[in-house]
Order: sequence, then structure tokens, then C-alpha cells
Amino acid sequence: MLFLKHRRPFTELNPYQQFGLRRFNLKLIARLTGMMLVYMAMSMALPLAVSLYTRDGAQFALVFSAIIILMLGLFLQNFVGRGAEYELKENESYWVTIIVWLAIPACGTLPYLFTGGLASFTDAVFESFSGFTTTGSSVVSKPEELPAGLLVYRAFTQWIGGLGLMLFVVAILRKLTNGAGQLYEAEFSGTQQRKLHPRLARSVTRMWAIYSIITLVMIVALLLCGTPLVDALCLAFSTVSTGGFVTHTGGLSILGAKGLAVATLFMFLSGINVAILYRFFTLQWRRLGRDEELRTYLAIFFISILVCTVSFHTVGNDWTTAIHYSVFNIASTMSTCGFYIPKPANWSFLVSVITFILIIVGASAGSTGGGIKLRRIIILLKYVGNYFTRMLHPNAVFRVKVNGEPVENDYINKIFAFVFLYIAFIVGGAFVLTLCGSSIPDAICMAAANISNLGPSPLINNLGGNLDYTHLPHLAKWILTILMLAGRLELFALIAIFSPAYWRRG
Amino acid sequence: MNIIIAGDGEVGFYLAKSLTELKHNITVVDPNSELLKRLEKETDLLTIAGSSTSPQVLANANVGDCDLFLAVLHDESINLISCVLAKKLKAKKTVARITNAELLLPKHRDMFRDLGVDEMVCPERIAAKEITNLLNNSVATEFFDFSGGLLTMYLIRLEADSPVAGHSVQELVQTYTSLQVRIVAILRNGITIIPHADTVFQQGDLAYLISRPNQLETIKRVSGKQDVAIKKAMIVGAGRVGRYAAMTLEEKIGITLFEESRPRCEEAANLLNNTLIINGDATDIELLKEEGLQNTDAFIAVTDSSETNVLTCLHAKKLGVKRTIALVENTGFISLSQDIGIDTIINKKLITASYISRFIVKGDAVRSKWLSGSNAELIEFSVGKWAPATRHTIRDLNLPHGSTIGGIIRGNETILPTRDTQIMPKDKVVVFALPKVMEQVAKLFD
Repeated sequence: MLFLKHRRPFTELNPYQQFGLRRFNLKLIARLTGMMLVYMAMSMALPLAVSLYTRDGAQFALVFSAIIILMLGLFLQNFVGRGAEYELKENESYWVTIIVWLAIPACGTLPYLFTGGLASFTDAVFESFSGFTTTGSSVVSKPEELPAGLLVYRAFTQWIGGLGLMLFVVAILRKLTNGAGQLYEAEFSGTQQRKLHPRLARSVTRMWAIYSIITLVMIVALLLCGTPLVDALCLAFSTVSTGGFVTHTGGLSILGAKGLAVATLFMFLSGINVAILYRFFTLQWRRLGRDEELRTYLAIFFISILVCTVSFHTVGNDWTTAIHYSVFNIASTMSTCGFYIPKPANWSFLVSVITFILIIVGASAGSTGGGIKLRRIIILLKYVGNYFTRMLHPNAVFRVKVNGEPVENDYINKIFAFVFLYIAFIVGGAFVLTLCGSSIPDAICMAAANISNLGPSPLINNLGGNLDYTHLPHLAKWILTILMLAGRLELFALIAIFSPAYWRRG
Repeated sequence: MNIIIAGDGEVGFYLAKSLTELKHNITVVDPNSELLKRLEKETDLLTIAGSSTSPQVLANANVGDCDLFLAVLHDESINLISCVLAKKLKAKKTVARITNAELLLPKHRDMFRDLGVDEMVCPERIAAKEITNLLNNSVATEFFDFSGGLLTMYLIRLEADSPVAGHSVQELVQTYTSLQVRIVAILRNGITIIPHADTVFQQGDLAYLISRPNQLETIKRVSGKQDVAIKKAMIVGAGRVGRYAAMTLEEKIGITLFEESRPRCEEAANLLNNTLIINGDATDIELLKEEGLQNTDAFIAVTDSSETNVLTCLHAKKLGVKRTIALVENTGFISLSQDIGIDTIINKKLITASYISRFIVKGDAVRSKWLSGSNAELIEFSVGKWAPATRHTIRDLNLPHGSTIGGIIRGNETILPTRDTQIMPKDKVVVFALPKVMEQVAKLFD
């Protein structure tokens, strides 16, 4: 009755406002989610094959999970979603994005639960979301004890999530011509990249192709360096998707010098826009070198390495260790892979500062990495630069340009909102994490590392020996899960469905 | 020469009038029959009312017999289509006026040739180019290169402290023995004077000189000009001329671009990278001062309004800007503006006419320049093998009154002619001539 008092008279409401959900194309949402689940179940053939091949005993758990996911998927696709109209409105595309991004990782917990590899439901959720969002934060302190099939499954979830689930939807759902662009936008709200092909589905297929090829090349390269098959598979999936799950205690140090070099190279590549990689590998090199984001990426990469190396050396490490660890750390942080190798004996505070900045900046827009993205940072810096000129010339008219193409002011406003929200999420997340017992620097680093989909970072001191999140309380794990998802969806899809304005819109 | 002009504006009518004076057979095609009636009354030409994109209208204009088809409407797409049609209907040569300078890129040239558009002229682009040239050469208020720079025409204003003011041409030659120039014309109060040995220079005269490039230093001394290195320039008006000028200049010097309309500012901001674009009224002198008018080396006013351009330039001049350039569309204003002290006047119509006339004049005219403020023209002729001009020395040539020979280019050599110079076949001759004697002059070299 208390609530009723505040409600407006019944007659003023239109029927859609009364029953908020009915205006959505629920059938299509169900159908899309169902189809995604079917594909996900099919994708579990790979871990199952590995499981049968290595006789690790996880095959039944994987089969059961696959069957349950398949049944659920078929049910949603063919019963709930029967006769769906293939037409999405903009507000629906946010819902599809959110629902798919919740449903897939939620179902992804099943193999963890069935094999009993993880201690609790919370852990399974954390691990699953961490995988699909390519964060790579893990609650497994000794990964080598997990069955091989489960390890491959765990790494494969990152690979599926790498380019984004919506990109997958768009690629498989060629029937969906109206609204596909919005799905793409909902997930990649900030990239504003020119498509590789006039048809979205085709350009997405091209992105998937280049992504798969890079993964295959890395697997072969690792095998040639003498890495065992299961490790090569898992680490290639982890690297190319910029996830960061590892297969052994001690992180990537098991790879040996050559393997580590291969991994570092592919980490570096994974931080680059997939469209640029596509142009590079299809020999369309014209104007590639003039891409501002790529140049900034390279500049930051090499300057950071230089500064970190010198800094490590001055605190008393020898040059070899200094340069090796710097290259690895910068590649791992900038691409937001978040891999782990043992730290040098003496740590340098300057490296912490640089690493923290790089965590927040993140990778290039359109790459598999996370973070605020370089493109946004470039635009903001240019805009702020103009702002100083405007102080001297109040009537001046400016236009920020990236690669010579003008950037709309609306878009810049959106970036400002994005960055503000990003920082707000980090601060809010860090606040709750301190309540859970982390120190303030640790809490901030942890929140930043997870919203940037980095995962483990040498900056966070209260992690386990393998930079795992095992010891954190449940509340902290749930908070980090939300941060991972928020970072992966670039905030707006998540914000949109919780904003009152969204619901009020007739 | 049979020429068809499809044009709805000033450029077309200006061209029509001047080409009629040169005794060409002009047909003007325009949709506006009222204007055409007026034009036909004033000038001896044929007019046809109708759209130049209609094959029927073009046939009525006898396009099959025309040597040159000029499409100079405001809308470039109409111009291009008209040219394509005219070419298909057997016009010999077609020229389209365009507004988008992108089409002028060399890589598109063959494409447009194939379509039937032989030449394209973008008045705004040429005006912008003129502005950049003028800023690079700070002594002359106007200049023009012949034969790839072997000879140059300079227009020099004699400043108050010029040492030659009050002296005659003969005295000038005697005082400055190292000076090798030919003074082809003097412009005084809007009147064109062809100077004799005893013509006396006055302060404020505009002298047309033909000279070699290495003479610039001496010319500078004589005219009383100080060389100004231009580091900062203000451009008023972000129309096409202003934008193109800013585009070419912004790499080298600091440019501030003023524009009153916000959408135009935004458009310019999309195009330009290193230019400071100010949204404001350029007639507001306080705003100009705030943006550093006093420290500006050059002031270029190229808004759509000739009055604004002249006024703002005057103001800039008064505040000590060394170089002022104004776009003046109204031909009646030109000599007036020059009189009141604006350094250089740019007129799109004259520029376009200059450019187009290179396709017109007989006797293998290679390049020509229509002079602003005067109706005379400087033309570079290639002398024919049996040309009458090769039979006598210049003294005995009987050059018509109102024309003079400015310079001769023989191979890689340049000759500043005296009365005893003999013109040879294959020479290139730069001639200054008033329109009424142009035909006569052209015959001499054919």
C-alpha cells in the first residue's frame, strides 16, 4: 500500500509501461540465447576430445554439461523462441547482449561443478565469468591438478569470449540484418571503427578468421618450442584472447626461454586492433603505418619497456633480468593478458606506477584486450589539448581528429561519460573490496585489473602464490565478477538496462 | 572561334562580354530568359534560353560546330553533365567550372577526359593558389610567370618612400643601370597608361614590369618596399577560397581563420589540421585585435561580401598589417580598392577568365593573364614560322597603339627587347595588349 500511494493514477499509464517486458522481442532474445547455447555445447567437443585422449577422467562431467547446455539451448531456440521475428530494436540489443553474457557464463559453470574441481558455486561462477570475459583471474591455485579436459575447456572459454559473444551472434546469424549493427555497437560501444566489409556479418567473419589463424600459428609455434600439446592449446587460447589462464603453478615460466618469447610476441599482437592485423596479414599495408592508435601503441610499448628496464637495473637487478621481465610485464599488461612469471629480486616503485597506468589504459580499440582503450585516450588527450587553446581563444572552433577523420562531439561526450563511469566502478569496487579486508592499494589495483579484464597483476600483493584469487571472501569474488562483466561490455550495455531513463522510454 | 557559354552567373556573363570584344562568336545558354534579353541588348551575341543539360537546347545552340564549350554555372554537376553532352554532340573542346578541387587531381584527369570533360577550372582553387603565391612573394602585389619562370610579370605599387616617384622612365633607366626591366604599363587612378621614355612615375602608381627573376632585389629597392617574411596570417571567411588557402598555407605559417557562421566553422575544422578557427564576426575589430591582428603579417579577406573584404582589409592596413589581400567580386570596386591602398585584389571572375582564355586565343598563345584593375591582357605567344613579326625589327613592326612587347624568350635565353630587337621564328613573346587591339596583335605572330 505504501508503494501504491506514490504511483500515478492507473489511467495515465499506457499498457507497455505497466508490463515493462512485453515491449521486447522476447522470442528473438530466447532464440538467440538458445542458439548460442547450442553452439557452446558443440564447442565442448574440443575439451571432450582432449579429455578422452588424455584419459583424465573428466569426460563424463563434460558430456553431462554439454548435454544439459544443448537441451536448454534447443528448448529456448525451438520452443520459447519459435516463430521469432528477426528484428531487433536498439533497446532490445542491450538486453540481448546482457542476457547472452549472463546465460553463457552461467551455463559455463556446469563443467566446473560436475568435475568438482572448484570448491564452491561462487568459485565456479568467478572462474567461468573470468574465462568468458577474458579476464583470467583464477581461483585455482594449482592448475596442474585439474583434469586436462577441464584445463582446455577453461582456456577455450576465453577464446570464445575473446572477440566478444555478440560478434559471434552476428557471425552466425546472417538472417538478422536489422539490428545486427546494434548488437555490435552494444558490445563495442566505443570503437567506431570502419568495418572490413560493407556487410557486418562478412566483416565479422573476417575478424574471426584472422583470430583463428593467429591462434593456430601460436599453437604450432609453441609446439615447435617443445611445449606439450595441452599446454600449447591452453596457452594459445589464453594469449590470443588476452585472457590469462595458465596451466601450471609458476605461470608462463614453464615455457622456457623460446616459448616465453613466442608468448610475449603474441601478447603484443593481441593488443592490436584485429582490423589492423587483418590488413597487415592480407598485405594491405598502405597507410597502416600512419594509423595513430597503432603508432601510439608502439610508442607506449617501447618507451615503457625502456623506462622499466632502466628502473629495474637501478634498483639492483642485472640487465638481462631487467629487460626480460620488463618486456614480458609490459606486453602482458598492455594487451591485458595478465600472465605471471616470477618477479625479479628487487622491485621498483616506478614500474608499479607505469604498470598501473597501463592497466587502466589497456589495449587498442577493436582488439581482444580490455581497459579504457588507447583510441579513447588519444581522443581525450587531443580534446583536452584543444581545451587549453580555447582558454586563450574563447571563440575558437575545434574538431578532434583521429587518423584525419573528424570525431563527433557527441562521441567525445560519450567517452567522458565512459571514463567517469570506469573510474567510478573502480572506486566503488575498491571500496567494497577494502570492506572485505584488502588493503587500499591492493583493492584499487584489483578492481582496476578486473574491470580492465587483465586478471592477475604483480601489483596486487594479497593474491595467492600463483597470483590466484583463491583466498578472497565470497563477496569480493562477486564484486570482481561484476567488474569483469562491466569492463567487458564497456559499461554502457550494463548501465543502460539499469538506468531509469531506459525504462521510462515509451 | 565559335564558343558556347553555359552559365547562369557573373563568370559566364563576364566571359561572354570579354570574348565578344575579342571578336569571337559567342552563344550563351542560360535558363533565365530575362537576364539573357538584357545581355543580348548590351552585347553582340546569340542567347538561347534553356537548360544546358538538354540535348535539344544544345543542338539549337549549334553545338556541333562549336570549337569551345564552356560550362560555368554554379553547380558543378550540371557543368560536368553539360560538358559530357556537348562532347558527345561533337563539340571540339569542353571546359567545366567545378567547385570541388578533388576532381582536379592528376589521377582523375584521364577519367574525365574519357567522359568528355577536357578541362576543368576551379576558380576558388585558383584564387587560393594566387593568395599563396602572393604571400610567398612579398614584393609584388601580383605576379605571373611566363615560360616556367624565365620571365615574370610583377605588379609593383610605388610606395611613398619609393626613390623613383616624380622621375621619368628615362631617368630610372639612367640611374639604375643594373636594372633590367621593361615597364609595360602603368595603372593610375584606374586608367591604363602605356609608358614612354618621358612618362613620370607618381606615388601610388601600379607598374606592370616584365623582368627576369634575379632582378627582384633591385626592383624591391626601386619600389621602396621592405621585404616582409610572413609568419602569421589571418584569413577572414571560411568559404571555399578561404579553406583552400588555409589548407595550402597552414603547413608553413600560422593561420587564424575567421568565420561568422558556425556550421561553416565546423566544416572548416573537419578539413584543416593546424589552423586556429575562430567563430566570430570579422568586422568586429575588437575580436580581431584580441586574436592578435597587430602581430599579423598578412590579412586576407575572402568572405562572400566584397564590401566586408575591402573594409576589413582597410582596417587591418590601418593597424599596421603589412600585406592585405581582398577578394572583390564586384569588378567596379577593383580600381577603387587599389586606390585606397589595399595591396592586392583578387577577383574570381578575372582569374577564371584568365585561365579559360588560354584555350581561346589564336596564334598559339601559351599562357595569358588578365590584369585586375585594367582590362588589358598579357599573353605569351609562340611565334609561327612565317609570322609577319619576324620580317622587321620591333621599330618597324607597326605595333598597334595600346600594345607593347614585354619580353622575348629564345630557347633558354630571355631578351628584354629594345627598338632594334629582331623577333625570330619559334620565339616566345610576351605581349601586353588592350582588348581592342588583341586580334591585330595575334595576327602578327601567327
